[in-house]
Parts: sequence; C-alpha cells; structure tokens
Amino acid sequence: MMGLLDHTALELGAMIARGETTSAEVTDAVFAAIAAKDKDINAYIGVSKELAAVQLAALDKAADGPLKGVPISIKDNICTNGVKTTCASAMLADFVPPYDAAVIEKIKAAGLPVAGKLNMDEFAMGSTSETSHFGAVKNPHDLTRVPGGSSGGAAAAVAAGEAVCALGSDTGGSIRQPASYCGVTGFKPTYGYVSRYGLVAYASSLDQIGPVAKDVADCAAIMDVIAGHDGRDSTSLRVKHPSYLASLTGDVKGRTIGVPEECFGDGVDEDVKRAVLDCAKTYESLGAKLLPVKLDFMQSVIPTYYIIATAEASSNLSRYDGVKYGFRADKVNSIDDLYAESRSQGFGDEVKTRILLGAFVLSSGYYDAYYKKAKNVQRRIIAEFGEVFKRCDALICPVAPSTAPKLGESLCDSMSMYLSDIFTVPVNLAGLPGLSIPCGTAKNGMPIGAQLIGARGADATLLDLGFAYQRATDHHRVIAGRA
Amino acid sequence: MTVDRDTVTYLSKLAKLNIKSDEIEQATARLEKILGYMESLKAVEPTGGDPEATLALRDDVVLPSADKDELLANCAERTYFAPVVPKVVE
Repeated sequence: MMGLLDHTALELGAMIARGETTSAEVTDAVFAAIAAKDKDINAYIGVSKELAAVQLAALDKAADGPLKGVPISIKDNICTNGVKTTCASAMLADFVPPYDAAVIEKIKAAGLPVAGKLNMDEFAMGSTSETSHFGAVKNPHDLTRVPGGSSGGAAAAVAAGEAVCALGSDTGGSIRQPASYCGVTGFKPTYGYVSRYGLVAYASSLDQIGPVAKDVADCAAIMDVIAGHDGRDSTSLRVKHPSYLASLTGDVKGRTIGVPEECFGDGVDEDVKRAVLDCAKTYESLGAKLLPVKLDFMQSVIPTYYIIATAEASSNLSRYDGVKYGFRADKVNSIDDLYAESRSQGFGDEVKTRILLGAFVLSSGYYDAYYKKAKNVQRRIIAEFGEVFKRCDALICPVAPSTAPKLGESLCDSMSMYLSDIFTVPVNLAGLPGLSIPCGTAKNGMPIGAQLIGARGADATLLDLGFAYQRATDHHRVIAGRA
Repeated sequence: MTVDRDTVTYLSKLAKLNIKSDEIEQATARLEKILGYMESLKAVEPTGGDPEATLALRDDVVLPSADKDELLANCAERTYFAPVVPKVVE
C-alpha cells in the first residue's frame, strides 16, 4: 500500500490543499520515518521538531503555493536561526546561528516546515559523505555503499523516504552526484540564481544551493520558492525568473542535445555508458536531435577545479580561529597556539588537506603556476562551453563514471575520489545549471544518473528536458520502488 | 612536483595548523600525489586576458546590526561585550 511519504512533494501539497491530509500529519510521518530508519542510514545530524512546530502553528500566515505545508529537510551547512548548523564538523558542532539563510527565509515564508538538518561531508569537502564528524551516511539501496557527497544526507534521506524533499549545496557536483548514486533527482541552478547568504562558504565562486527531490517537477516547484535576487549575496543575479514549475511542458521537439564523446570513453563503467546513451535515445524518440560534440577541456577540469576550490577554501576557512564562535582548544599558552590548536583539533583530515593545498597554490612562488593558471584555464572552459551551446540546447553525459562505491574505498585515497568528480566539476567552473536524473540500474543493483547540462540561465529549459524524460519513462519511480 | 617535510611544515604555519611529527610523512605523500596531478595543467596553453569584472555592488543602505548578545552566544569564553582570548601582548 502506498504510504504518505511515497508521494512527491507536489502531490502532498495538493493533498494538504484539498484537506485529504494535513501538514502536521505529513511532518509527523517524516519524524516517524527518521526514528525508524535513520539508525541505519545516518542521513540526519539533527531533527528540528521545535522549529517545525512553530512553523505549523503559523501556517495560516504563509503564502499560498503548491508546496505549502510540505516538510523539507536542509543540508547542515545552511544556517537556520536557533537550530544547530554544524557543517558536519567538530569545529561547528555546537554552533547555533543567530540568523536564517536567505533560502530558509523563503521556505518559511512559503510555509514549508523544516524537518531537520542533513548529514554531509565535513564543510562539504568530499564526494562520499564519509568525512562527517557525525559518522558516514549509508546508501539506502545498499548499506555497504556510500550515498555520494557532499549532500549525501539529502539524497539518502529522500531515497529512503526519510525526507519529502531537501535543499543541498553543489560546489563540484555535491547535489548531482549523490542524487545519481541514490536514484533521486537533483538540480544545481545557474550560479547566482539562488542566494548564498547564510550558506557556510566552501568555495564561494562555485557554491550554489539547489533542490534534491523525487522528481523534476518537485525540483522546479522548490526553485520557484528559493530562486531570486538577494542584495546580501554580491554574486546574486538580477534576473527575472519565470515560474519553473509552470515552464514544464514535456515537449522536447526541436531541441538539440549534444553528446560529448569525452564523457563516454575509457574509465566509464559500461553499465553507466549504456544507461545514459539509452536516455539520450529516449530524447531522440521524443523528437529531440542528438549532436555529437567535443569538449576538449575535459582533461584539465579536475586540476583546475581542485586548485580554485582549495584556494578559496583555505581563505574561507581562515575565519575559524576559536575566538568568536566554533570549537576552542583548551590548555593553550598564546593567541597563536589558540588559533593553531583550535583549527588542528576542530578540522578533520580531508578539510586540513584541502586547506594545505589551498595555502600551497596561493603561496609565493607557486601562485602564477597554479592558481593564476587555473583561473586562466577556467576562462577557456567557459568559452568552450559557450561555443558548444551555440549549437545545442543542452548536453547529456553521465553524472559520475561509476555507481556508488563501497564505504571506505575512497577514504584512504583522496586523489581517486577527486577523479570521480570529472563530469560534474566543469558545470561549477562555468557557473552553468546541471540536472541529475535517474536513468537505470547497473548490474550491481545500484542506480545510474544521467546529467543534463544547460547554458548559463537555461534553468527552465533544462528542467523541462528532465520533466519530459520522467513523463516518458519511469526509472525515477522504479528505482524508488514507487512504480 | 616534489613536496618535502619542510614544505608541509611551512604550509602548516601559513594555514595555522599544527601537524604532528608522526603525521607529516602521510601529509607530505598526500600533497605530493595531488599536486603532481595538478601539474598537468602546465601543458595547457594560456588563453590570455584577465577575468572580466562581474561584480554588481548593492546600494549602500543602512540596516540594523545583529544583536550583540546573540552573536556572542557562540563564543567559548566572553565578557558582557567581547570574546575573551589568551594574553596577546607579553
């Protein structure tokens, strides 16, 4: 029998509006699911029953909309006023923000109760959600495998039915890759479309908040709530956003979808290639035209990304000094000792590695050869994407070269984990929108995700393409056990 | 790219991190492997030109500041108006 939490966010919103259920009932169902399942999955760092109760009591005052009353869960690097925001780090284990992130203000105004804060890689640095101070997140499809990262809690919670929908953040694939590994839908909007105010910074020029949900329509509805200009984020774009939900037509006739040959070569699992190429063929059968394209920069994207991201991380994380907030080491003799000991004890290994890498690429004697060169190559990547999008409405490629790896495989080898980000990081480097949709299952039983990439600002087109696929196929329902 | 113990010690000073002596070897090996891979970027031809200026500044509007007590609530140690730190001036 179909349970309440088997419904999509939009279905639940409609049921609440029709009086067939209530927001309190759905929110309680989420809390019950967390209590029953999260011991195994570890998708949550904390539940926010008090905040949800306050929101439920004031639901009448929220604006009407298709998601009114539908609970949402939030990655724990997005500030929630009065509710712990830990970034899955010992550094912020007791940090209670005195303000809401812009996206939290918006979801509160739209009447979406916050169910809890989701586990992740520490400071969003990782591709497996294993570097969390609060323990690794497990993949609901196979508890011996990772859910992906860094928004692994968001994808695992939605896949396990412990969350109706979620907000994650994506710096190098952190929404799209876990969505792919867990068989759910994840959307990384154009850089500047969703305010970063209140998102704890990892690499500010690449970070973007976006939705994780059961399907594309839910993602579009969440975008209608969270997108928009915000003067508190100097990179927020002043553009008029359409209704992303109302833009879903399901009609792809006349669209051209580029198929980059570099994304289907050696190093990509055969099951992944087959499923993603089948997805492309489905678009062809729906009336779109497929166009082989070349992305000559693919070999450069991993070094470019990790140089820029770690440089920004080392700068952004210099604020954690043990003084104003965050972990403070005791038994120190001087202010310098306080800084170094608080940081050394408060940060985990992967975070420290990235801070050291960032310090290296920005240091005297290496700045030109590493950071400046990477920024230069980034411009080339942006220009090449620009040329490709003169001929295509979108690109299709795998989200990741393989399905979810086993727990522990990546922890001892950062480099192999970095390489698995090859198809997602170019999207962040160029500030583009990217969508991850389930498109099949591998022989090992794990979900496979196809990635659609659009030109900057083509968010509505991209979501519409994803919607068309999910209307024509039922991979997103089969993988979730809802078919 | 060769990374030695001295480089890691220097970087840890820059980054204000204490790396224990028994951890330096592992950190050195990790950084060497990653930076070695990043060296592949040297082979890419530069494009020339500087990044475009894309900043759009907001209007300078006076808004209320955050509440002092709420901000100080996250300090490990504080007086009624400021964080407390170890002695800075000898």
